[in-house]
Amino acid sequence: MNRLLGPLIGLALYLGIVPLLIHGSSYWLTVFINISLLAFTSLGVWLTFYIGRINIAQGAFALIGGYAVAVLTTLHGWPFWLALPMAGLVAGLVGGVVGSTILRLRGVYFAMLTLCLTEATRLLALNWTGVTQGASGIIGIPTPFGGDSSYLQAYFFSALLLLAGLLAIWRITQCRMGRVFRALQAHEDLAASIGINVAQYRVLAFSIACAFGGLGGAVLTVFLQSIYPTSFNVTNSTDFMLYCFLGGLQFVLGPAVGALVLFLGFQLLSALGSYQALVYAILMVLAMLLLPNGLLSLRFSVRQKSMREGQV
Amino acid sequence: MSLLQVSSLSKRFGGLQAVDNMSFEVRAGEILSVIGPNGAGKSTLFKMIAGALKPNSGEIYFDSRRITGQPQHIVAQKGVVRTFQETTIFREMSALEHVVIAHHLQATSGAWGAFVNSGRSRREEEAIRQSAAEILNYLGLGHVQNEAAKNLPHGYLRALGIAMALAAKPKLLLLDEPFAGMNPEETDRAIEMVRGICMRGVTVLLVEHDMRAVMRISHRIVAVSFGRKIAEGSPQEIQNNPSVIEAYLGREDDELGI
Amino acid sequence: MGLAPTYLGSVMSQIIVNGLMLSATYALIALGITLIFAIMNVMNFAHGQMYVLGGFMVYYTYGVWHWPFALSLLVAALVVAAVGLILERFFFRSVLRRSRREESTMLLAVGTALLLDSLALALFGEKQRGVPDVVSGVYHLAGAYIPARRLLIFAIAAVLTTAFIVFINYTRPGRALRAIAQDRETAALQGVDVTRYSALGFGLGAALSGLAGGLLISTDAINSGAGNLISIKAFIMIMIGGAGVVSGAIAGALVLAFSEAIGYYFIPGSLPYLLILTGLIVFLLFRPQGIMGRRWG
Ligand SMILES: Nc1ncnc2c1ncn2[C@@H]1O[C@H](COP(=O)(O)OP(=O)(O)OP(=O)(O)O)[C@@H](O)[C@H]1O
Ligand SMILES: [Mg+2]
Repeated sequence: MNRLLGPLIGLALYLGIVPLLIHGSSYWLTVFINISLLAFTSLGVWLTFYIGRINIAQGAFALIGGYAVAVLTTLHGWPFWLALPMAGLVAGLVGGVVGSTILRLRGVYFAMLTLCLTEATRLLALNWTGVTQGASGIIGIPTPFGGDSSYLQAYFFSALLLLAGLLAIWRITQCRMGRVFRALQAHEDLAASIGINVAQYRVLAFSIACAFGGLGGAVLTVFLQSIYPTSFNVTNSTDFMLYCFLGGLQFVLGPAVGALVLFLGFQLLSALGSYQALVYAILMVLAMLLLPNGLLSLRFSVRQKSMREGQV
Repeated sequence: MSLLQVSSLSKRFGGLQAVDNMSFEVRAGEILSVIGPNGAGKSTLFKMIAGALKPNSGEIYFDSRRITGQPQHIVAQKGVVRTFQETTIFREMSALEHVVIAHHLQATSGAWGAFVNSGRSRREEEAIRQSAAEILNYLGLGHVQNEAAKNLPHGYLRALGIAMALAAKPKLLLLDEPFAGMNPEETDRAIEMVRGICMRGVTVLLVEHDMRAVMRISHRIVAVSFGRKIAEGSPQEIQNNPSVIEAYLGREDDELGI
Repeated sequence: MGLAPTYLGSVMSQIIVNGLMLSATYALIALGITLIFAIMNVMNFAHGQMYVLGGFMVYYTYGVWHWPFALSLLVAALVVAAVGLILERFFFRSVLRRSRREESTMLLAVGTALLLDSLALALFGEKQRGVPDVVSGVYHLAGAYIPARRLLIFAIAAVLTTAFIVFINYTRPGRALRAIAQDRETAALQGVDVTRYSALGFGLGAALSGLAGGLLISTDAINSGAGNLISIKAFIMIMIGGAGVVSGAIAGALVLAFSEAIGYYFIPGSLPYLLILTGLIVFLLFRPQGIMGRRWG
């Protein structure tokens, strides 16, 4: 129970206090909507890391999810609530197909190829004009959030989506599937020797990861009501990865904390004008150098230190 | 009755013929050792039997079914499980977790049930934990079951490898140099352990350099050199076989001890 | 079908010329990233940013301040090498000492790319930049047109590539670098100053990328956001050729340059790269270690 206390407090804060504090400020609501959705999308990258792969393709799957929801709602008139799961499904399936080939690579090779995949998906969106309308993009995507409180609705929806995502990933890590994933991360050959179907499990993990990307991208797209081939690009893919790393790979909450701190930090630096990006990048590299195990490791090392001191 | 049949098995690495037209069989219930100088192709042979490497030619039958070239997890499902020559572990995990994971093939409740933590999956989980603890106790690892594997001494890790293999409930257990790096007392204990495993109905195929141990433990021995089988027979016969003696001649450490 | 043989011939030779011209500069990029990877096991995600930096050095020194082209190339190489040395010394060395895990250095490399990207944006602005022709004129050879400036760039890049290969194969530092690439520990035992040579390798690899940028800005314009795309090209080349192998880098450069030459000749727009990337994935299915590489993992 004690273990759950921290996350529960955080949750209460996020669902209750944040909207109260920033109520009425559509700017800040937008910031937090973005944080929730970016964190949700990053959870997929986190899960890919959980099987020992560095994934820089999440932008591609966000783009796929975004186009899926855009095409389904605008061209085929699907309602959002039907199109959204479909977007996740499409991204997950594409991820499964692509994953079954590229997951044979490891380490930096997998990372490089996933980066290329992000670029390839952008080019596909640009050239497949029959479906995506090419560079002019798809605009006027209908939104399910309306009326005076549309931002607040979107805020709660994304916060709840993030919560559901965290819960799902947490359960995965706690059950048999998570155990198998950890085994794959540690040693694929040893896992295979005791009868684990390595190829199947890593494709499963990657598909789930891509479905997260598709869902996150779809909601972001609907929120912005437009999508272009550049809506999710290489920069986004690396961002998703950085959120996970900087939040802490050992913790399910890592991507959420990473997204919160980094995205919020970036917004807070906006006063610096044209130096915003530079200062942000410097701070990020510093964080990498000083906190190699992520921001959440800070909390744990403090606790461990006090425990050690307590024993003396 | 033969449990495993290897016929005309060959494996080439570039210009090197690591395993060359090898044929032998393993009878149900026996302990069969494969011996041979370094680089003779013993581990390569094991990897092919376990499905970790595809042979260039030849056939492998297990329980009269063809398993040639099938992937590792399928071969493991059918009951052939191997341990690694190099100590191979999931570094960060505890010994218990290793063996729990190795029960993968025993888990029958669905993935969804496990995901939502259903009663059935909880009960199964509990049973698996129980069984894992038992296996660890049986192999003398009970007292370190919660220790992270990376902190365990070498001898324990060799035993942990065997514990994992046992958890997969093999009919045929392939042990690649299980006694490597053990002192005489540890080896004695390990020999008893392997005998015990065989007693429980698991057939054992074993590669080992420690000739004293091999001669004591094996029912039969296959000797290989440069990828080829040069002799097969009882420990007595192998010890007196001229080509075996020749294959080992000129070696610095005369491990055959003849 | 109705194409006259002479026309076909000139198409062929134009493609060959274009591919060849490009491949020499691409080889510099690929050799740089493969060198860094081989000796430090760091995949330099900031390689394209170093290319951009080199390009802008030439833009300012040659294009704006009208220094001699050769001098500005030298300056570009030195500045980018210095950046590489600084990054190696203050970023990668400490992280490598702390952990040999691939993720930590890769994360840092990505962070470095981001840092250099925003630095380039802050320093150089968003505008697309080019420089005046170094030499003018067009040659006509076997039905193909060769602009003199491209020929010059090709010649310089080819000389540099050859020089690099000679350096790595026949000089003392080159042999030391190869020894480190083979096996760090053994090299250290044999008395190679691993720390110093790692720094040298990193600086050299960065300089090669910077040189490529400095060369290509005189034929193709450059902008401060181009880094990631160049990095992607570098990745494509070493994945095709095989990472950490000199011959692989050259092979990768040839394959990519000719794919681009063929693609852009027949297909307009961005479609060629989509095909190249798709081809890469299919290729890796059959040969995950690349043309010259050893199998990894
Ligand atoms: N993956 C591989 N690629 C290339 N050559 C290999 C590979 N695996 C093994 N070899 C070579 O094949 C030969 C047989 O190797 P193997 O490991 O089977 O020998 P071994 O009998 O187990 O030796 P040891 O007693 O030292 O364990 C050796 O010469 C080895 O170098
Ligand atoms: Mg061996």
